[in-house]
Amino acid sequence: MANDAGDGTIVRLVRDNLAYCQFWTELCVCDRTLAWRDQTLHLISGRPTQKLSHDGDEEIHTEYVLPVEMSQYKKGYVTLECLDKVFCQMCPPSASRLTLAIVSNDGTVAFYYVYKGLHKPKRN
Amino acid sequence: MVKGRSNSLRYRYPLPVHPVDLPQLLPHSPVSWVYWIYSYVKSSNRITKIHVEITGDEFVHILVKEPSQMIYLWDNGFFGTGQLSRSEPTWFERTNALIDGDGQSNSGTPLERITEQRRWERSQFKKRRVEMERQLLELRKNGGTVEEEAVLLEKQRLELRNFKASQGSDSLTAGSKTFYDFESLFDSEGDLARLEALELMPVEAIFLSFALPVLDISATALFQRLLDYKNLCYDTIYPMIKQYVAYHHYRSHGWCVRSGIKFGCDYLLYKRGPPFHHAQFCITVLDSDENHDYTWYSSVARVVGGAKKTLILCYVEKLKSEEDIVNMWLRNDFTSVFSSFRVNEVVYKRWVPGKNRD
Repeated sequence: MANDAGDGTIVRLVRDNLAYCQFWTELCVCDRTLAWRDQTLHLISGRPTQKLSHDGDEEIHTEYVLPVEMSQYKKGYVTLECLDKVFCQMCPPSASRLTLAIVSNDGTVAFYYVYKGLHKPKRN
Repeated sequence: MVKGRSNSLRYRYPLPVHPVDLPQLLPHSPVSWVYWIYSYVKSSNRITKIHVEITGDEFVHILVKEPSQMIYLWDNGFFGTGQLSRSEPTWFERTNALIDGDGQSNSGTPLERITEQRRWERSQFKKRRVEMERQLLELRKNGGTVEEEAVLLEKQRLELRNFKASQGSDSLTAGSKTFYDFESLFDSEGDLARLEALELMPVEAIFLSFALPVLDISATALFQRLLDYKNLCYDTIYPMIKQYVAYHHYRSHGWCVRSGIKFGCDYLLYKRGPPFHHAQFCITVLDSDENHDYTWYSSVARVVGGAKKTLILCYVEKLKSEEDIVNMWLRNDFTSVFSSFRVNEVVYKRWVPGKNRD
């Protein structure tokens, strides 16, 4: 598992959260990393146990999760350019969305979807 | 919710330091004096200092890993968050119960399990609804009349209502299958690994070292870990001072203060703590001269209002010069630094003329 200084802790925290709280399977920290500003981004892929959104087809797809620190996120670290790079260089072309995993300074992880282009909103 | 131990007993102390329990003193009875003095001398309210581990360089995480200390901090003032739980560190217990196969732990149903159940119910409801919409579409395609459509809609509405009502009654029967990668969770001894740590927000750690002698790290050592002392100036220390001044302000007024990340604000205020009530107030900490446009306030207020909480704008005002504050900081005189700020609050609430007549 990727474990370089600083980054390693949140990648592991998010991975453990997905594995042991959300019960995702086939979790894997991708080998390919991305250098953005002065940090290294890691991507986690995995399969949720249930479908995460009700958008038509019934199949469970592999999801791609990008761990980010909250304090970093607040400073505007995750820009459009950064997300474009993540989509192009880290995700397979078939991936239509990313999940941002924002790790707060109390250990809580907040998840947000980022879609490539427009997407029909989720029905409540 | 059934609890093994009553909540008011378990959470009787609002902070991790406790008063000394002394026997009753009867002025006319010398024996009671002797006993009182004996109890006083023998008593101790010192606790073993809680060990914290600080990881990360630029982004610091403050962790408590010893299980009894994690529970102690949670039970005495609700400090910290379980990294693999919603708030109380219940992962170990939950997982053990899951492996045993009943999903129930000794102390009742954990919150996480209830959330899981509700999500499952909601997804079952949505599946039904999709099916009904398909029926309606089918009818329209086959040229159904308006009357036929009305009959179908009425029937569906009734069915959905009954379905929802029946869902609430059968408690905790979640059919969601939970896959578990058990093997990796056990250590070489065959025990379930303690994967979860309790994480303290920096302000909590400051409170538990600067204001109360609870952690095994001094305030000075903690600040050296939290701040970049090589480039120390007012701008590098101020964000943390601002957050801490607000946190300390509410803690010292008896509120249970927890992170407000889920509601897009800085803190949540609980009257007693999460097991007793929902948080009533959301705090957003601002500089005394900070200014935003209307949409900024209204978006925060709408999120907070949607969760039936009240938004409080907490303005932190500086009373001394920046230079004085940095000098005090360099002398490690943190009490004077934090006393150089004043807190003022404004309640920000959406007012609807038709509804808010009282």
